[in-house]
Amino acid sequence: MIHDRPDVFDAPSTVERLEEGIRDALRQLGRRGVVVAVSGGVDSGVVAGLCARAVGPERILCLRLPETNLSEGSSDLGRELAEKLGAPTLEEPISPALEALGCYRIQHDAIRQVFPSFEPEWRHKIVRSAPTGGVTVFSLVVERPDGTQETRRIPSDAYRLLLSAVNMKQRTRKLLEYTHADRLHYAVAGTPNFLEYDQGFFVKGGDGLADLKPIAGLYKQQVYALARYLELPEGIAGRAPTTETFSLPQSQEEFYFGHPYDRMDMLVWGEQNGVEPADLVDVTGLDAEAVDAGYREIRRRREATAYLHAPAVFVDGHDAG
Amino acid sequence: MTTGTTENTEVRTAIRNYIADNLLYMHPDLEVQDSDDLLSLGVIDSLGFVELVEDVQSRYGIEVQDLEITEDNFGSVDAIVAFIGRKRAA
Repeated sequence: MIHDRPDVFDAPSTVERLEEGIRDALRQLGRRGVVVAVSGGVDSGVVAGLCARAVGPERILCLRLPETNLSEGSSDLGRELAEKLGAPTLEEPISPALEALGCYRIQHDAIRQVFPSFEPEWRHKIVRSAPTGGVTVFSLVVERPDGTQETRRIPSDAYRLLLSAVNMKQRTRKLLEYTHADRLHYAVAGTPNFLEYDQGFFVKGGDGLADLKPIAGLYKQQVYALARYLELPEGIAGRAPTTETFSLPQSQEEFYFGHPYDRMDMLVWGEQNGVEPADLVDVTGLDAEAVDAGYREIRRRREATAYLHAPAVFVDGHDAG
Repeated sequence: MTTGTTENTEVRTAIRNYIADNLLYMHPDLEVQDSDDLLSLGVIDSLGFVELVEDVQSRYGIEVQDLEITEDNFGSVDAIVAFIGRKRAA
């Protein structure tokens, strides 16, 4: 599957294989249904759609885990999806838990390291430098209530502090997913697509934690194709990928990948299959040098995030002799 | 001229020490030459570069612009030493 060209793809046969794979996974796991956290995005929409077809909509739970003021409308999209699939759904807002855990306080402390006069009503996001194949520099963008924006490079300790706080969001969601999975004797489905899976764009113990990952072999444009094939609600099937992490709207491209998803699909596919950069010029719209820079960044990012995939290291203190 | 060379040697030693202390402590078998490409060796990632830049800024009192954080300026010990030399001369 992952060696097919991202833009050459047969939806019906893929859906058939994935349905069978999901049923196999549940048999293997000894669980009788699936919890899917639905964000209102296309990835979780497709996972929910596939699981509903594989095991029946009555055996999935669509969990809506909105963060107040940030996921505006996402929960409604999740409800629309669950209704369309005929699946049970529940909403559990995560903001009170995040508040109690100190998530927002830590976030604000981190931002004030860069913008000392930051106030909680300002909006913010992190953006990366343009992809060169070399060093990536991250900047913090703030927007004041009057709409003025300012951008400053974010020091490494402030960056780590801010990320540690926002990762609490994904980890809090996962805690609730497993709580319901325990209650229902269900498995938890993860929603990373192949780009996120391969390039380490997920939180360890957060959205990276799951019992099965039904679309981890699908490029992003294939996920969109499946959303259409599964006839998911338009608000989900046509929704642009966002990070839903910071208070300013932020695309995955500006925070992480540096390229729009369809180009990123082709770059990852080309890098994996040893395609000469010159042969990817037409489909990516980049010159060969930029394709090569993309390849280098893909390899480095994969190496840098390998630890996210690694199971806990079993440290053996026994005397082997 | 003599002072410049001494300064240069001190900077080189400081950068080598920074790399040994912060980047190579988990790679005891790796010997890094001054001309080696740190990114290709896999001993530093983007955030590691930012930390290195922060260290250089505070240690030498120079300001590094975003556009200056490149492999050309920070990719190897040689590159960093040359970059600091240029900034101090400016």
